[in-house]
Amino acid sequence: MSVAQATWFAAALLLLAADVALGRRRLLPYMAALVVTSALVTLGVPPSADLGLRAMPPIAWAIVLRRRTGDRAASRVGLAITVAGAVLAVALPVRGMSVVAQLNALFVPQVGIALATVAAYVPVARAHTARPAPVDVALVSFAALDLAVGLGGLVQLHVADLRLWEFWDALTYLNAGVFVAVAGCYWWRR
Amino acid sequence: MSPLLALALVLAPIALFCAALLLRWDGHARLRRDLVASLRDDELRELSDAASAAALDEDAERLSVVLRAIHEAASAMTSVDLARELASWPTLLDGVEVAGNPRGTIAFETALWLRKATRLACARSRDAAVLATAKRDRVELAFAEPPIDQDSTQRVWLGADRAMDEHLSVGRGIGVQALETAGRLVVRLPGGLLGPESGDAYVPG
Repeated sequence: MSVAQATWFAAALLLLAADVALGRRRLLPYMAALVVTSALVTLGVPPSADLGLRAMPPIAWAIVLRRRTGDRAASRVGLAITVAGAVLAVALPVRGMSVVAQLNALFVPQVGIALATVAAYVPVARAHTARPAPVDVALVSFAALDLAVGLGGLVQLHVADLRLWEFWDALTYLNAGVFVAVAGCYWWRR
Repeated sequence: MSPLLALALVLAPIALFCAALLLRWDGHARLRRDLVASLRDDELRELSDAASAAALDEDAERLSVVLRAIHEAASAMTSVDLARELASWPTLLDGVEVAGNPRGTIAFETALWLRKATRLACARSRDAAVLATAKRDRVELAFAEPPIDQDSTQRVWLGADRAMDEHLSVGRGIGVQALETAGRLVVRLPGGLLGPESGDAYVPG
């Protein structure tokens, strides 16, 4: 595990703990899925299980989004994209799915769920002048990072010999910072 | 990646969130000043109870700012000018969050607006109990002296509709349907507008 990953993991655990102890478990499904998935993937699982596992956070994300915004349509679309990606990831390798296709199935749900989040929050932002709660800011931040990860992954897959290690590290550190910031918000508002 | 850059990347979102929190704090102070300047009726003291009830188990941080301002302003109020009070409501409720959910805010505002519209329309005495309950897809007003007459219902409907049009323009084409039963007026909001976490708002009259 790299330093960036370790930082990310510690920050994710911190936010998970804060969400349970200080928050109202609003992010619990997503953060739990994220932490468990990351731990299992880091420990090492078979490739097909790996891809299936990685589809879990977006599914949990759709649940959180639905609970948070009450937007059925956007979360359903996001969930549909995610489930489709997960099914592709788990089922198609048996039929000889290429590595690129498998990874597409991994990154497409991330893009889908991020766009669904934006779709769910745009009407909310347009409808009301109130400043958003930190949790809402966090969800949009996560979505933005997810979008960057998904698009970055897709670009890397389709551009030969392109390696984005610095980009991934930067995103990982940023993500860790957002986790810590949201945990701080919980503490602030306790 | 250098450790310094990594640290900067971790700290950047934290700094952004801190700035946002400070802005919110400043916004609270401004909101408080606006409230004190705009409130006109000690009836709003009752609404602070409603606000407390509405936010009982949810995000009450910003709500508490409103409540403090309401209590502060209520002691200085002398006259009842419902029209001006009504005009001040957008300022009053701007930024109030219930259930930490933007749509929960709508639920709360809806309940309070409907209550105000009801009081305007029915011109009931202060001791008449009106319970406004914000559900997921509807707001229910239960009257202590049922049934309300057809004319009052119509006026309530118009008041609620106007309130919705002017201040709760959440999306286009949202209408209000009012149904009169024995002492109970149900206003249905299409499309699950209020969200799943809106909770109940109890507004003592």
